[in-house]
Amino acid sequence: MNFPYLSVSDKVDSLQSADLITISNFRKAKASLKKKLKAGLGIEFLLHPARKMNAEELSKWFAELLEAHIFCESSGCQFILSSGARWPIEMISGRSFDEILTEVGIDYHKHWRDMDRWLSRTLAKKVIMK
Amino acid sequence: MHKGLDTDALNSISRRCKELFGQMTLEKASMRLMRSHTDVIVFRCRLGQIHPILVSIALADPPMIAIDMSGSIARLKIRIDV
Repeated sequence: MNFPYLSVSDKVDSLQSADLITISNFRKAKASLKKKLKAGLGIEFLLHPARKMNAEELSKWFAELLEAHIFCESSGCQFILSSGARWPIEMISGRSFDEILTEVGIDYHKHWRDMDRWLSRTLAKKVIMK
Repeated sequence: MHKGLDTDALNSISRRCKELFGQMTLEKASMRLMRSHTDVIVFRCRLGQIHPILVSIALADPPMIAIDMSGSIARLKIRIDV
């Protein structure tokens, strides 16, 4: 049986061994990311902290997501927006995801196609055979 | 349609919509509570304003999920048993 897996990190320092990195503050992490980045890396942004933000913080968060998306496009990385759900109630419907991506300024059709391609490609390289 | 909260959910969605898109959008959306159960509420809004409402649901606090959408309450009733 095959077991596909992804290695995830939330530390920019351990980029070399990770398939995916979770970023909480893109503007702070951008400089380190630029130095240590490898093409094909997934850069994940979580949505659940945004629920606690006020209007001003949320507007900045949207601007930051667009900045991150442009950065990912130019550096060959995969932009990933995740609910970051810890409980089922924190999950987000597909339609809401599409609308958030649109609000950020991302074509969601292209985003999901790219995500699918990235996931298939990355998982194909990371299979444990048992 | 949202699961996991009582009727305060509608106020929380309205507040988020107002913060993000403004009072004008909120008024245009014309949100009205239709039904409320223990953990599911059904509300209507204008189809033309569905975009800001879905964003507001996803970013509302406390968290909630849009579990279904329909053009009529009858069809919705069949699908989600409320």
